[in-house]
Amino acid sequence: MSLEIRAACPGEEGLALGFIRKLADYEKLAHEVTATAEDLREALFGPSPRCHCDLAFWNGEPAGFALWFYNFSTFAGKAGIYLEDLFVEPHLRGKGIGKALLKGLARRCLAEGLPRLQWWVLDWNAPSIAVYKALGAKPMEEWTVFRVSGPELEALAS
Amino acid sequence: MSISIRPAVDGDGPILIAMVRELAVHHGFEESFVARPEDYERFLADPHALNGALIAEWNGEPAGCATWQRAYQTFLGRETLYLEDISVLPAFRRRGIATALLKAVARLAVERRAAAVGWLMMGWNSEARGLYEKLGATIYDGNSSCKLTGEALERLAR
Repeated sequence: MSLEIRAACPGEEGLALGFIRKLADYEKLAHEVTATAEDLREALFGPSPRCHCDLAFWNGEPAGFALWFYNFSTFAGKAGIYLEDLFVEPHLRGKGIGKALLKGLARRCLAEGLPRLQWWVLDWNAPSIAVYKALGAKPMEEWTVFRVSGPELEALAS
Repeated sequence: MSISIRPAVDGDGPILIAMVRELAVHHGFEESFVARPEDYERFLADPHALNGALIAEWNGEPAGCATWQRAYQTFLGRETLYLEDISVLPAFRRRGIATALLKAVARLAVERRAAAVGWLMMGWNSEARGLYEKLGATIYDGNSSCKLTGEALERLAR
């Protein structure tokens, strides 16, 4: 029984997209996924990568992923890591794979002198919230998310 | 119109620090604000930096700022802009400066072909909420942000 975690390689953007679609499905947001494998290849492996992907394999089988990028805290004056997606295949849960993916990112933070690892969770996602709290993560409950996109973005910009 | 918006450049570190610190104080986060001008100068001097800032001037005097970062949304397969801070100095409030800054960030997003601008707001900030709704933003009340930092981060990384 073995768990392997490593960075995704060019050619594995399809695998990442598969996990993204499964995560969207879990979050009841499947209708929002318009990304293509080409979009992800450019973002992950293009000349200026916009994000990074760690893949988990259980006994050689793709088991899950963490997709993340660097952010910057203007209050701390330092960079940090923002975890955009975290997903483990349902039949491989309960083996500590999610925790191992998070540990990998925590270690990267310490190795690179980054004081903070941050991510979002939907407020109805009780199983994941329980895992995160058990790892010592704190919810930031006073904040509300805003977004402007599509026609509203164009209107605001004009 | 006496408002002008310009990109922050090398040398704007001190004024940006003052404005973002003002934001931290306004939100009751003064203790978390430890950034120094040199932390900002690093990204201001880098033409390939993943983050930046806009400065608003009223009759040529620094009056407010917006700090932004390049982010990525996997569902869209597109880059987005994360608006981290929007701050108007107390003496310059009620003159449309926040609106001007938000418009400028929206323009930046459209120029860069970013799919959306996202940001956070504290739940008690009804005045800001009113402005954001007026400008066409969508509010997501069902999200929680998670943060791993300090001792919990080190423990997880062990």
